[in-house]
Amino acid sequence: MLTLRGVDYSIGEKRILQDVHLDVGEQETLAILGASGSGKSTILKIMLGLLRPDRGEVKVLGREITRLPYEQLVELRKRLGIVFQEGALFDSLTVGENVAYYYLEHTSRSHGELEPLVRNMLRTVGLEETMDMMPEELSGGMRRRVAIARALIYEPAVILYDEPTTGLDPLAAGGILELINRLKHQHRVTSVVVTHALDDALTVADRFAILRDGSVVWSGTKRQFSANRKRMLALYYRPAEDRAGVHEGAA
Amino acid sequence: MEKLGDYCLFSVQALISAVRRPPRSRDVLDQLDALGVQSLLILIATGLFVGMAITIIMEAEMELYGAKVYIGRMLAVATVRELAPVFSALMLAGRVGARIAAELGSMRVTQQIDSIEGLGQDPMQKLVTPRLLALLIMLPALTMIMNLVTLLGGFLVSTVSPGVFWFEARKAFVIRHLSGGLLKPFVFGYLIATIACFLGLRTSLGVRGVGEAAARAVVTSSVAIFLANYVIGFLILKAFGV
Repeated sequence: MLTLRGVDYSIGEKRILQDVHLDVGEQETLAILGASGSGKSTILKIMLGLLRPDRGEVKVLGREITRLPYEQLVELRKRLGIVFQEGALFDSLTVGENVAYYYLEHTSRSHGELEPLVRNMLRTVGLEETMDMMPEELSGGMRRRVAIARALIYEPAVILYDEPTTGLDPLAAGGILELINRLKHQHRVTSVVVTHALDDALTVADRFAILRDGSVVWSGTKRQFSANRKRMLALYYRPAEDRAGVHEGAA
Repeated sequence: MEKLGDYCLFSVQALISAVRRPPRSRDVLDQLDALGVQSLLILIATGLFVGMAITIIMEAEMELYGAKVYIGRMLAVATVRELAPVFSALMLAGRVGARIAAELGSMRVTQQIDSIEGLGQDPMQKLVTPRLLALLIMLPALTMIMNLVTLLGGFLVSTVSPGVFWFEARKAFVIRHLSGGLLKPFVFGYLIATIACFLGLRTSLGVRGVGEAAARAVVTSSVAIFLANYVIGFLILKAFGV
């Protein structure tokens, strides 16, 4: 479904990603683990075509997107969903309008026609009563649930989650992870979750990729990760100066 | 220089996008209301007081030369050629330019623009072209209103007879005066919209960046208006004479 091959990305002189290789299969959940500033969110933006890599190949749903004309890229994005760190809801629209946004903008369906669908989607994320509220009235966890509903409503083939639990209290974070897992099983949606929280990754992922300083230093299945848990933890937490030359597992 | 190049490219793309991928009429109507209709009162007040102030001063000066009867014509020429287009544009650069830059800037720093792209929309089509079209429609319309209101303000404080005032004022409505007055609002509207959108969409550094983008949008578009006003004025003078 998603493939990155030899992707490099820099901002000016600063190299953000270096020779990144990643694969995400159908109905699979990949967790990209890494500390802040390791380039995790950049990978999501490259998958979505918001950023173009300096080098390498990015295949999304079978299409190479780095050379795709802008109009076609915009069309392709309609088959992807993204949940940003803080939810990134449109603050001038109600919760219901946020969730219905895709259909309001891309179809001629009215608010009235969309109401049952929106209500159902908000019920799925446990927020049916917030339909007429404004985003500023919601807590951080609720905003992210609404963002998930907004991404899910048009049944995208892939959902990308950018740090879905960062800044939330443990209860709200647990709720989001439980929701991601439930959607994975109920909607059979392919997901990519970027996070710095190891426990979050272990809760939702089938596959893992550990990112350090813009490079994937390990990738493999949950079973491989669990079988070598101590080594993986050491790899994840090892200080930067000890990491040179570490490229293990099935990267 | 690099930023100027980026701006030029952006402003051309905005124009091409407005033609090739027109925005939804609902988005344009929203902007017509927010940017244009809501600016009407402030422009009427400005026009009225500018007309009154200029008439009082100029009438007194012209009386010294026995030319007071021409005050209607003098005010009308100044209004149609310079005052109405420039004052309308400056008022909108302050009110609307800052608003656009702050709005798009805060959308940028809260990732709402990334969300728009993620939801399969082109920010140029969704955010920039509705604002550009709204200003291209509303600024000429508001300038027309400003023309009338400024003349009305002058008429209210003028001491010459109404018949003489309006008879002389009507003489300003000839092609050599009107051409600049009609062309300028389109150019100024284009400058305000593209500069404010450009700076808003490139906002960084969080809330501080939003404030800076808004302030820069006002200053940059005001300077651009004065520069464009000089260039257009010069060209029209060459084309039509005095």
